[in-house]
Amino acid sequence: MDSSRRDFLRKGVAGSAALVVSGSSVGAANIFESKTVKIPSASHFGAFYAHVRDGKIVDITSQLDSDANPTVIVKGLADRNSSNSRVKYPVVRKSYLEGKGRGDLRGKEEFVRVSWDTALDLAADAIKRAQKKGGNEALYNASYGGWSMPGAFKPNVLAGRFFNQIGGAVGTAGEYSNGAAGPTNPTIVGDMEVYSIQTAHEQIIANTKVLVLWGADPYKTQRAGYSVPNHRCYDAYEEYKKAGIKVVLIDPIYTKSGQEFNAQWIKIRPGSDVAMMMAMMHYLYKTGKYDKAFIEKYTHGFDKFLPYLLGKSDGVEKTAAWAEKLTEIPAKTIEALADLMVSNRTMIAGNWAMQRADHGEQVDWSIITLASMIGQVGLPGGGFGFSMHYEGGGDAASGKRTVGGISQGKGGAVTLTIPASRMSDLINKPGQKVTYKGKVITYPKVEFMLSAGGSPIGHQPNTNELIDAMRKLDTVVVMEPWWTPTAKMADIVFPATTTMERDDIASGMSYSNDRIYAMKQIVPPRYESKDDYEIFTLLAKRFGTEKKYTRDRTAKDWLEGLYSKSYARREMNIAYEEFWDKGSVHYEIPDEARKYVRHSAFRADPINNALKTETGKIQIYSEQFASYNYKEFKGHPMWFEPTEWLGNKELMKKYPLHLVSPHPTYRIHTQMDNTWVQNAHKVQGREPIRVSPNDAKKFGIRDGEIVEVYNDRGSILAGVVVTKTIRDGVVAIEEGAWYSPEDATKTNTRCNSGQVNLLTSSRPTSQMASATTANSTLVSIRKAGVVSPNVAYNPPKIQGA
Amino acid sequence: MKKVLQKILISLFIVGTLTALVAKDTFIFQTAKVKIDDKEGSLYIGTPVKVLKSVDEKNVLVEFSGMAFGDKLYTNKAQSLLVATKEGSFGDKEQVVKVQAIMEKGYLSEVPEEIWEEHEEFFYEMCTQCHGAYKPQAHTMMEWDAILQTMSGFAQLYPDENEYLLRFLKANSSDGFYPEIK
Repeated sequence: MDSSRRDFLRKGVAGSAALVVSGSSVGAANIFESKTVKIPSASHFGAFYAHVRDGKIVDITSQLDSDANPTVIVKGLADRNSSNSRVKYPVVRKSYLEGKGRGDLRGKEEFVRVSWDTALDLAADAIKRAQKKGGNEALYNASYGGWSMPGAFKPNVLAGRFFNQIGGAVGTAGEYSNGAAGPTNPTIVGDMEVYSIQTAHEQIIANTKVLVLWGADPYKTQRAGYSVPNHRCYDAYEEYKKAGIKVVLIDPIYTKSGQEFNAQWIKIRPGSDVAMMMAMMHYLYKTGKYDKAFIEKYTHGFDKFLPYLLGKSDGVEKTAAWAEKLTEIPAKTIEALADLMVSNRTMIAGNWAMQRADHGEQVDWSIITLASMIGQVGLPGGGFGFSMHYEGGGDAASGKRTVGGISQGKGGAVTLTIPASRMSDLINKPGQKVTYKGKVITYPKVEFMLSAGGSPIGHQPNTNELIDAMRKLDTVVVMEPWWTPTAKMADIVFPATTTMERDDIASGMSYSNDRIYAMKQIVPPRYESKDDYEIFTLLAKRFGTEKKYTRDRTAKDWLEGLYSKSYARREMNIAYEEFWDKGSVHYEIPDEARKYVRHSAFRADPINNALKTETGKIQIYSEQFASYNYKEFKGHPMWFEPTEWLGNKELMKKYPLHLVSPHPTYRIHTQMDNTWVQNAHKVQGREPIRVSPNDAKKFGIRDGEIVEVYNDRGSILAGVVVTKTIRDGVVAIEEGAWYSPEDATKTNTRCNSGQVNLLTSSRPTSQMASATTANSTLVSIRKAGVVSPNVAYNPPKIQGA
Repeated sequence: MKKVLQKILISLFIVGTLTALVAKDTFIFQTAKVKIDDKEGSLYIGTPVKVLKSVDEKNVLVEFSGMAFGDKLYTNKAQSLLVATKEGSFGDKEQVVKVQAIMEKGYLSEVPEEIWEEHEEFFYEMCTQCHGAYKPQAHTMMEWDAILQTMSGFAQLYPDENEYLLRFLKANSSDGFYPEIK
């Protein structure tokens, strides 16, 4: 290397270091002829530094003092920012702009580039038109989830704030993730449990002898977080291994976690888990091995559950032999597992996928009842946990406040919410009713739909049903940085900035609460994009609510205000400017927090620490639930046969494979599907379908081949991965691939990309939660025939671009 | 028959129907010091009371009811909402009692919304940063207890803030002080 080159590098390194220390970012003094600036920010995949040279992001590296085990996904953030799939200008669908409406052409015709004012005026007019026609119940705010990014300016919140200030809109009750367990668990155990702090890793390592991963796959799902993940849980998992914990995996897939923990694999038939739990409980009861004292002291209604378990109320005794036929797990294995669990300190790590299935409300309830019979709830390393795979579940808490976000404020007169996953029904079935937790909700007539920071064509089951519904609306507005499948179905699309193009603030993590991160602007906004905050402010201006919306605050004012409430500011006396310069604040975790054992207080004193339930105890039976008089949700946990599963012999003739759609390994839902990171797993540019060797042989398909996966609801292309890590009869396609219609002019056309929700059903779990049942899906596979390139990530046709 | 009537009467006292006994709806605007049987006591924010008469220019005699737990009076057996405290016992444990108190009339309001204005702002500020908020009327007191137990971690509420929020949510819940307000 010649000296001038060395000098140049030295200058570059020195310059970079100096800039980091000074906290300079975009537009820093141009001291060197060329420089790389390292700018801190954070994401759902971890905290990182963007390396910027000449206004371009040239690399992304993790903030290693915050992220112990970085994921490759974070590397894709730069690619996503500069992707050609960015929405570059405000656009309006051609017929809509011409005043012809023609909602039936959504997703089929080209867009026209317009000015910001034109797009904003059209959106405001559409809202006012809908209000005039049906009041604010004609407005549907489909931007429900806060998953788009971890900062304070969450698009769904900004949308909610806008609608609340103009009289409200129809929103969402519950969620897709935990739609069944979330509304059910509080009545059973006085807490949602799915989002609650878990027994500390240290207690698991020191005490747990058997860890049952009942569907949980922490190695995969911990890669991404609702807040900013630190990935420290992977260090803890190494200690799990060293501690010699026996891990049992009950799952149709031998997951990454199963492989890492060298777990015993129980290849259960999807949808039959509750039957297996019932059989284990039956065995424990009949052998007298269950903890009678625990049941007596800490639970209510075992006596009402018992006749069902013993078959006295329905004539079906829930024996291991009975369960063997349903689960395809030998009775001896079921009994042996019950023995193993009751005779060792056992933690049952439940998951969320099981309850995204027919009668999903029964799953956690059955696990809680089983754990109660084992009698270790509240003991160190024992009991159950429904969040051990989420947000570092098991991480100890700092107990110190980090930062929140901007709020939506109080709703207007309209605060109607519909259960998540009822999106298509809401649009398709005005005047019809849906049940939810003992209440009856009547669907209003919706005219206008807005989605910001999320893609319903991605998370809503039965995509074709949703597309059909969306074509019936008067207006669809989308605010997005990218041409998501939902944006392509819109009338008006506003280009939003990415988090790399604006300042924000975030926390890590939901349970440990030990970090605050500056999410600094890294590059200038691309094309004509504006911040979501600005877009909604401009929209609010058209309703005279601008001042109320902003309170005259700039984005920086909001961030400083949020930071001012943190422990860092109040107790550690770190000024905002100092924090911002450093890029993060770290809190210590007190040793005491590492001793946390979930439910230990209740176990120690069930009178003074009674659960927030009807009786203060675990409700194996709930009078409240029984009073709802629902057909497939009663006063105690029960096993109900799913509509779609491998036990449905009639349907199996047509669709012999059970399709599960687990969380993606390299995305959060649809996020990052438009990046190079996907090359790590896509097969010929399509979402992989995992198939067992026996099934591959049965269907005459081979590794790496593109096949068509189909059922009555739709068909998709997927790339075959033949693997022994999935049981026979079951196939898996991870959710989140961007929908790409093979021929958009046709109804129910094949998806060229592999969006799994073309195949899933919007059938509700039961009358109780009316939640998603995406994991109760049967399909078949056939040859793909002629295939065309996958254009899921291309922008649509735009006039005047 | 007598027993049945007694049962009905007792159940009428349980919160939710408690307000039905009040001739004109009046509520404690702010937790206030009161005199109960000539002893010091407190009546808690939001509680419905019936004004019996004026005592003087400043004070009135009010009546309210609840379930006795020593020196505390709650809305129900689950002790969901604190109604009043005083020096000495309100009666036998879990006995439903009617209680009279002398208090400043300035602490009374006929408009529940006015009472909870600040609480409401705090609720919507804290609880809509990730998701849309449910109206307090969307859940029962018990459900709010359970849900807030989960969610207070995400909202990072300090214990006093948690208590402050919980009283607002429970008082305004579907089986709280004002079940008729939807």
